[in-house]
Amino acid sequence: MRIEIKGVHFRYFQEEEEVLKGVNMTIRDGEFAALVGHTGSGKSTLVQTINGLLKPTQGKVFLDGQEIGKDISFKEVRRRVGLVFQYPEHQLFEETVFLDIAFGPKNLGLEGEELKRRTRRAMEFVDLDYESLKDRSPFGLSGGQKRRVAIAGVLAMEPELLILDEPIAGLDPQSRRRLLDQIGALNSQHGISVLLISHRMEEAAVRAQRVMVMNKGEIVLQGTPGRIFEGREKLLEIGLELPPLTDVLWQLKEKGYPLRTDLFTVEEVAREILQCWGGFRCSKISP
Amino acid sequence: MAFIALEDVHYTYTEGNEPPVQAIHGIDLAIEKGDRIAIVGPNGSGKSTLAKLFNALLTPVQGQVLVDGMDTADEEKIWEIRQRVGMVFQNPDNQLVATMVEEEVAFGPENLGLPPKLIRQRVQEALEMVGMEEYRNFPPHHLSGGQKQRVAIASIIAMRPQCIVFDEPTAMLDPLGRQEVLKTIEKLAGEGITIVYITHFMEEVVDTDRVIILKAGQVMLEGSPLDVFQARDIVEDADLELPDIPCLVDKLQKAGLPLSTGILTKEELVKALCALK
Repeated sequence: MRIEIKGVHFRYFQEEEEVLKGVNMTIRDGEFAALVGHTGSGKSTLVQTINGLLKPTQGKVFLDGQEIGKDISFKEVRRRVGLVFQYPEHQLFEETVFLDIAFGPKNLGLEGEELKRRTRRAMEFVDLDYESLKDRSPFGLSGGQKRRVAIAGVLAMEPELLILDEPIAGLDPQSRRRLLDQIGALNSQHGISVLLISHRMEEAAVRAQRVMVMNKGEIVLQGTPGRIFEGREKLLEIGLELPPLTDVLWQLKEKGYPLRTDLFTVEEVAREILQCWGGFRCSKISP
Repeated sequence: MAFIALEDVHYTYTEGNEPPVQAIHGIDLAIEKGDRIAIVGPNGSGKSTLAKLFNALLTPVQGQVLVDGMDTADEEKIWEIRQRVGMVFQNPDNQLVATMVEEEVAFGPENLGLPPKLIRQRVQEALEMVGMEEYRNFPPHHLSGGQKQRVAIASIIAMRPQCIVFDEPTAMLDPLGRQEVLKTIEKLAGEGITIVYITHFMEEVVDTDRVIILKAGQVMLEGSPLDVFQARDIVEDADLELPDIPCLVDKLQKAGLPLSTGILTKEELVKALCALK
């Protein structure tokens, strides 16, 4: 699914400042994209205009070329674009895991075997065992499991685009990694487009093919993760941090060592430093 | 005797018909005045339960918690204990109740029955300490996450506790908010307040004196940040991850760079690399 956002403005109340100030953005079909920005930058508002929960006060949003609210109904959009809110486990409410996940598709009119199939498939996607968990109360599960039940509830609607608002906030490192791996697999193996919202740069960078940085209602940077980190000054100016390893490269570069600054994994950064330090070959260039 | 002393503490949650959940399995721990300790562990390791045992929000089902010599199970001492050990939680929205920052911070001292003049003085000092004095007349819900969390900290400081327990205070904040809160904690530690900092971000324990790794309600390891970063197996076994900088240092060492193992921060690494040239 391809999303195009053209000149979108939004304000919650007439007398208040605009939350979105003319956003232009594209999510390509099959892409894993990330939207980064700090609290209040407009990220959550923007994604709600994509899945039809909010109507732009000005501007248009297109889904596969069809204008939302005109060529395609809001209801249809909400079925095809899945939105997982922050702390989605707070929205669990049913007695069993099965009922919670099946709630959406049931409302679409599905029942019986098809409902079971969808629920089972959604649970498999996020690595929850169907047989042992379907009859459990969602409230008795661990934090990471609850979050996956909530995501499965959105996946059971079989969306073509999955938007996740800070899906890993509050989870421990292993749960974060596992969940991001599963989201990655949904994208690479099942072709679901993903838009990940985050304020942890390093986590967005490792997974996403493209990162968009938002500040005060505008997209201020976009490109591959490496390219975004080249814009260090801009990032610092708007209060975002570089991944710590990228920052080490920057600090060394500022001391005059000729290093690349578009790398962010331990392996890449170690290799880059060793090229310069390993044989003690490289020499300082005057800044 | 230690300021906070735990002796063979056990805690079990029993709720309705659900099977009982044993959250803490026999923990012994001593926290001295002025200590700055971090407690790390994955979700469900018992971190938050342990925090609540420190100031009598929970009392052990077996064993004993002593705060400044007072038993937390002694109901008559509860208020004295809570005055000495304050708590700051993950979500500031859940602990802010007043309509104005100033009122929020005055709430605790008012409940202590202090005279108005002293209350005003304490509110002023507490807001200065967290750098929020210019927001004294703001409604808390108009503040950013980091600012809200600092107001929550100020309202604890106004009670003049000797120890503050922070339960994942940065989990819901963006990088800016996180830095604000970490700087505030740094300052409190400098004032001699005992800090207990609970987190699952290993990079946040670098500046503490002592780190305790918790898993399934038990202490897996207790030591300096350096000890902990070197115990890679235990860290990974507890479902935690080493921060990126020690990982990078490890890789560079293995490739033959003569770096010392004591390097924990970006700045230290940059300095050490430059020194090799």
